[in-house]
Amino acid sequence: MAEVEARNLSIRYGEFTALEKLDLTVPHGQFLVLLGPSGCGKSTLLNSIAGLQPITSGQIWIGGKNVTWAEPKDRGIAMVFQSYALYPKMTVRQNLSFGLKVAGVKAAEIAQRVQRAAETLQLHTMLDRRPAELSGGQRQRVAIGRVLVREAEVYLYDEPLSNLDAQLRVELRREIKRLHRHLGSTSIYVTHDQVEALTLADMIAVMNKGRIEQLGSPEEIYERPATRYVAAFIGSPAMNFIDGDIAIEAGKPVFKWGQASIPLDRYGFAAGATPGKATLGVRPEHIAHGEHAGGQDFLVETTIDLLEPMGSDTLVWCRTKEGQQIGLRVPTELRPREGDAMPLGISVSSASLFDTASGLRL
Amino acid sequence: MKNLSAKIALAPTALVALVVFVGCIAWTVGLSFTGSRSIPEFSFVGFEQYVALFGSPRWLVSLRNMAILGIGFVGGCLVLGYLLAIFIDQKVRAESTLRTIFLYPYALSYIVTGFAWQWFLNPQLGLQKFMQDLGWTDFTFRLLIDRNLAIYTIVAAAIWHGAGLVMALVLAGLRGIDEDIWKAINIEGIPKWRAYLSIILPMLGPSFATCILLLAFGVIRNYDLVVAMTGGGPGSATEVPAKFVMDYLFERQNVGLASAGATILILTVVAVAAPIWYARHWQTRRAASASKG
Amino acid sequence: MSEQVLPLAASTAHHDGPRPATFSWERAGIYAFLLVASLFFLLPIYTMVSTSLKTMAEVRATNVLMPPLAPTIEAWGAAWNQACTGLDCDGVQVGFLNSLKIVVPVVVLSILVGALNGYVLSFWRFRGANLVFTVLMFGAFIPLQMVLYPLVRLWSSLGLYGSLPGLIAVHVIFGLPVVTLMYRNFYAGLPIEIFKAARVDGAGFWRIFWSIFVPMSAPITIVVVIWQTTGAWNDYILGLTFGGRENAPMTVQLNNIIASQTGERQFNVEMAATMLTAMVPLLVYMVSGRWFVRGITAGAVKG
Repeated sequence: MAEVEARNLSIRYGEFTALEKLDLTVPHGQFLVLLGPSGCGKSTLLNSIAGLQPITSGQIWIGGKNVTWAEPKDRGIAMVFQSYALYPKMTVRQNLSFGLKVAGVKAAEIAQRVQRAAETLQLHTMLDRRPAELSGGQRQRVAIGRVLVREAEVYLYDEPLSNLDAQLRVELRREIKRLHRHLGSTSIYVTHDQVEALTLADMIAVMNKGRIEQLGSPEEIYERPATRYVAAFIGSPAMNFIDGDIAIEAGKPVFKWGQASIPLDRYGFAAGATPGKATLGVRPEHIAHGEHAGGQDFLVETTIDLLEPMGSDTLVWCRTKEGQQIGLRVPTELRPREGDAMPLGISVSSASLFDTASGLRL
Repeated sequence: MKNLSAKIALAPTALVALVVFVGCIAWTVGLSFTGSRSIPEFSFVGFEQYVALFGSPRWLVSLRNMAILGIGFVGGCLVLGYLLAIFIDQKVRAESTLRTIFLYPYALSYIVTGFAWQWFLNPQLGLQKFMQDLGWTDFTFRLLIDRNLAIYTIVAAAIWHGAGLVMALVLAGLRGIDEDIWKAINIEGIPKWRAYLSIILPMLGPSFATCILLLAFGVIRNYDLVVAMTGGGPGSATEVPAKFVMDYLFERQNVGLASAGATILILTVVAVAAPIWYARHWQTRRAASASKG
Repeated sequence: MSEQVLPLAASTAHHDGPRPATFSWERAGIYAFLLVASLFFLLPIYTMVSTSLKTMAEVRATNVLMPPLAPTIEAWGAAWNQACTGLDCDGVQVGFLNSLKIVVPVVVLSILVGALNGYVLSFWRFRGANLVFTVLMFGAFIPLQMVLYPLVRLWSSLGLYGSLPGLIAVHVIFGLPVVTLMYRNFYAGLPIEIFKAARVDGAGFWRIFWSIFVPMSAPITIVVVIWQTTGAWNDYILGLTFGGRENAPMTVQLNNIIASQTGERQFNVEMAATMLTAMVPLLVYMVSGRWFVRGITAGAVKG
C-alpha cells in the first residue's frame, strides 16, 4: 500500500511563503492532479514529496512511513519531468538501465525489466538510439520508461506534456491514463492545463497561492466549484459571473440583478440563504438559447456582440442593455449573426452562487 | 555597386588578413626551402633545412618538451579545472572568493608567472629553504636545476596559470545543465561521483573541446614562460619549439632553419585543430539531420 | 497490521521539518580540497608580496614563506624609479609609461575596427565576406612565430619597425580576429529584425551602424576592453620584437631588469618590480569580476 500524505506542510523562502500548513492525502492507487497557475506552489509540493525540495515544517508520509528526512531514492518514488531529463550521451537502453545498474540490480533482472518497459511503451526500435535522435514524444516515452523500470510504488509527474505540441500531448495523455490503469499505483501529476487535469484525474486539487482551494473529483470541481477562484480557473470559455444581491422575497430567496429578480428555490444552498452581496456563476454551456430559452428559471434579453467560430461550435458573446457580457456556446449550423437579438435562458439548478466578499460557494 | 560602403568598411581588414595571415605565412613557408642565414636569400635548397632541423638535438629536445607540456599541462589543467568546478558547484560558502583565487593567475602574464614560480622553487629562497628552516635539513627540492625534472616545474607553473580557465569554462557549462537532470539523478540514487563521471562529463564535451583547443595552442605558442622561468636551461633541458624559432630568427641568424621550425609549428596547430573541428562539424550535421528526420 | 508497521514508523515518526544539519565527512572533504587548492594558487603570489615588503637583510635571514616582520615599501619605491636595466637606472616606471602608450591606442583602435568588422560580417553578407572571416579565424590560431620574420621585414621597409605606431599596429592586427569574432557573435545574437526595420526606415550603412548598433554595443565593448587591456599589457613577444629599445613595454623591461642583475640579487626589488608589472591586469581582473569570465567565454567560442 502506498498512500501519500503531506501533514501540516509549510515551505518558506525568506519572506515568501510557497506552501502554508498544507494537508493532503492521496489514497493508494489514486491518480491525483495538482492544478493551478504558475507560482501557485504545485511544483513545490511535488518536489517536496519527492524529497528534492527542503521543507520548513511539517511531514511527508509515503506508504505508512515518515519519509520527511529520507533521501529521494529511499522514498519508493519515480518521477517524470517536463524537460524529460534524459541523460543525453547515453542510448535509450542505457538511460533505462543506468539507475538499476548503480543500485546493484543483477544484469539479467535489468534486461528483463528494460524488456518489459520497452514492450509496454513500444520502445523496441529505439533502444540503441540516443535522445538527440528522437522526437519530443519519443523522448517523453523513454522518460516514462525510465520511471517504469524502477517499479516504484508512487509515480510523480511534473508537467510532463508541456513541451509537446498539441497532437502529441493528446496521444501521450491517453497513454499515461492507460498506464495508470494497468499499473494501479499511486500517481501525482502537476499541470496548469485543465483539460489534462479533467481527463486524467481521479482527484483534482486546485491550488492557489500555496493553499489547496478545492480537492475533489473532476465532476465535483467542474459542477460544484467550492470557490469563485476554482470556478473561474476551470472551464473554457470561462464561467459567466453576474454580480447582484440575494434577498428574501415572500419568504423565498431571490437573486436581485438590476430590475430583475431570479427565483432561487431550485438552487441547492450549502447552508441556507442569507441576504447580501453575491455573484451568480453560469457556465457557457448551461445557458439555453433559441426555443429552449423560455423554459428556464430566468429569461434575459441580449444582442450578439461578437462571434468566435471554432469549427463545430461558435462562441457567442452577448451583451445586455446594462452592458453585462455573457458568453455561450452555440452549434455553428445555427448561423448566429452579430447584431441579432438573442434571448437567453438561465437555470439556477446548474449554476453556482458565491459570496462576493469571500468568494466561497453559497 | 551593391553594398559598396560595407565592402569599403571591410577592405582594410581584408587587406591585413591577406597580407599578414596569408602572405606572411606563405613567405615563411617559402623561406624554409631556402638557405637564408641572416637575410632572406632565394637559393632553393629543397628539404635541407628540415633535415638539419630534425638532426638538431636542441630541436628534438624542444619537441620532446612540447609533448610533455602537451600531455602534462593540458591533462593537468583539465583534471584540476574539472575538480575545482565540481567542488565549487557543491553550494559552498565564499564561492565568488574561491573563483577569484582560482582564476586570477590567468590574468597575469607568462613573464610574471615565470618569475613567481622561479622564486617559489628557488633553492636558496623558496620552498626548500622553508622546509630546511622548519628543521627538515635533508629536504631538497632541486626540480628547477635538475636537467631531467626542470620541464615539470614549467608544467606545474603552466597548470597554475591555466587551470582557472578550465574551471571557469566548465563551471559555466555545469551551471547550464538542466536542473531536472540533477533531480532525475537524485531520484535514481546515483552517487555524485558516478553522476559527474558517467552523465555530466559527456554532457560537457563542447566545453572541454574549447578548453583543449585553447590550452593546446597555449602549449604550441609557449615562449614567455620558459624565458622567464628557466631561459631554456639548465643547458637546453627546457627548450621549446617556439623559443627555438625565436632564437634562430633573431639571435642565431638562421632564418631558413627557423622558418622550417615555424612551418612544423603550424602543421602541429592544424593537426590539433583539425580533428576537433571535424568532430564538431560532424556533430552539428548529425544533429541537424536528426531534427529533420 | 498496524502493530507490524509500528516499530519502523515509530523510529521516524518524530521527523518533522527540514533534516537537521549534521557533520558530514563529504562536506569536510570538499572544504579541505578547496583549502589546499587555494593554497596552491595563492602561495606563489604570497611569496612575492611578502618578500617585496622585506629588506634584503630580512630576506637573507628568513625564508619566503615567513611574513615580513617589519613591512616596508622601500623595495617598491626602488623598483619603481631606481631598478637598473643595464646602465639605465630609472625603474620600471619607464616600461609602465610605455605600456600605457601602447595599450590605450590599441584598445581604442581594436574596438573601432572590430565593431565595424563584426557589423559588416553579421548584417552585410556579400560574396567574399565569408572568406575574409575564415582567413581571420585562421589568424586567431596561428603561432606568432609563423609570421614574425616577414612582418619585421615588411615593417622595416615601411619605416614602422621599432616605432610606437608600428608596435600598436601589430597589436591591433593580432587582436583583430578575436575582437571581430566577439562583435560578430554579439551582433548575430541580436534580433535581425532591428536591422531590417532600420533598412525599411531608409537608413544607410553608416547611419545604421552609428545610430543603432554602436549604442547597443556597451556590453560586448566592456568585454573587449578587458580582453585587449590584459592581452596587450601581458604581451611580451610583440613588444620584444617590434618595440625596439625606445618602446619596450613593462614585461620586456622587467625581464631585462631581472636578467641583467649582477652581483648580489636584490630579490625584494625584483619581486616588487614583478608585482608592479602584474598590477594593471590584476586590477582589471578584480574590478571586472564576472565580465572577465565573460571575456574568456566570448573569446573561447572560436570556430
